[in-house]
Amino acid sequence: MTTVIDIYIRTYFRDLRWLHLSLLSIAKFVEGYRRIVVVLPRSSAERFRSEQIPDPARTTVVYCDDYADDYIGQQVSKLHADLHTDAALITHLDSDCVFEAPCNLPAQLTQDGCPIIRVLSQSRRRASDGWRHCVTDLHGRPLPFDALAAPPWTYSRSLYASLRETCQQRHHMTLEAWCLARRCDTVSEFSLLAAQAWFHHRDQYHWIAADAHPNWPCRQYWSRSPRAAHLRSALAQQLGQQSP
Amino acid sequence: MTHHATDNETIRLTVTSEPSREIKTALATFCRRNNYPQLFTELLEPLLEHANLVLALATTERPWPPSGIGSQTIEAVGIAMIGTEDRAHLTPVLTDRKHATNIGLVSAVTKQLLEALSERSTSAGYLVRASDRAVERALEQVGFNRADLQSATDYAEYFEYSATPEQALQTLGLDRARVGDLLTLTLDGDQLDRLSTYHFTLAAGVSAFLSDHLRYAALLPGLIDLIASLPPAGVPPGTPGPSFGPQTDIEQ
Repeated sequence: MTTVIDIYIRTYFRDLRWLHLSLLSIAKFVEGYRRIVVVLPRSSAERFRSEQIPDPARTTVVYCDDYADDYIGQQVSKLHADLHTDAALITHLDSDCVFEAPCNLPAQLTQDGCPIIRVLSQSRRRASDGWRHCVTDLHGRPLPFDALAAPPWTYSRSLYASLRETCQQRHHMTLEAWCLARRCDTVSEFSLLAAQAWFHHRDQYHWIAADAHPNWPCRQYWSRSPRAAHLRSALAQQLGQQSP
Repeated sequence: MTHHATDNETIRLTVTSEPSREIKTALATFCRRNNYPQLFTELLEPLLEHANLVLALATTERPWPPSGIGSQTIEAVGIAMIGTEDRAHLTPVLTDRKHATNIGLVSAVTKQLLEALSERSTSAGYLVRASDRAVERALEQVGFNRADLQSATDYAEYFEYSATPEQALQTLGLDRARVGDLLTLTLDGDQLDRLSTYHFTLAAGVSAFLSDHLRYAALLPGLIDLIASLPPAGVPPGTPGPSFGPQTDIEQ
């Protein structure tokens, strides 16, 4: 019996063109998942159009709370992804993540039914970087690697509740409150999840060094780049679409 | 696809009565860049300290970091001051000069503001120069009617034209319109005409005030501190208030 994988994408009004490209690339290149869960803040609902979903039969749109600082808010949403899907494994993509080659999710992101966490042993991010140091702040100790390898990022659904419980025990506050109290460049949701897996559930994951990983099928762009429109146009051509 | 549609996709729409420091500094910058810095220093800044202002904001963020002083840019702002009897005094939506013809953005800001007011004000109105027929007509066409509130400068009398927020939303067709459709101007011709007339007339009407030519102002922003002008215990019953010309005289 195969393990059910759902793809989870938290987006917002500003990234809807990127989302469309990401979904197109999934439809073109990705197999081995059950459905895609797209999560938007409620305030973005009136700016979202159904034609931005290329595969509506396999896509579920969910609305979440608005956050005053949605850069942190979108990370909070992802840290509660298990509340939006009952899949055993949750694969995260951001709106600006685009597949450029075929990818079978179970084959590339799991081993023996367990998720693979790809890590960087030689990271350009120093240990003091906010996206790495948040691990020490929450868990009380650092990771011996940088957990922010290339997307996608896959975790067991039980990991999310486990992390929330750790936060409650260590800091006597919800994980949401802990995140929202921090500066935007000092939280990385995927670092926190990977650290929870490493410190508390290490044997339930496969850990692979991904420093040199040529031909990886998924690439993350920067949706806020001043060149975003140009990049989208080039990607749309690659995906056989008119420029979005 | 309209000229402004792509830019509008990056604009965040919010409503607040308690603007952050980031928003206050962005408002100061917005007023300075559009050549009316006095609007912030002489009206908005002091009024924000004690008056009940509601701001409908259209903002963009610095790519990184997206927070902190200097991170926000105001693209447009709609302002209401909630006065006595929960009446909202409106300022026409102010836009950065690059959005002067961005009716979609102005309409979306108007919708956000009126929806917020529908929960907290009994009416929403503009102060229009007496007998300035073009402005009066533009407002009457979308359901605003002359009310009892009046004001005066050394140069002219002004009367309030008001409607309930719900009525204004309905007659402007904003109650049924999705924000996304407004921002892309996915509207029928009649509605576009209605929204264009409304906005362009109000923008023209308030322009003299913004350029510090009060003498020529066809419309005053709703930023007159009416509460401060009342006697401590309020206006006693039966007080007629100032009379302006034969048509507003009240029989004693």
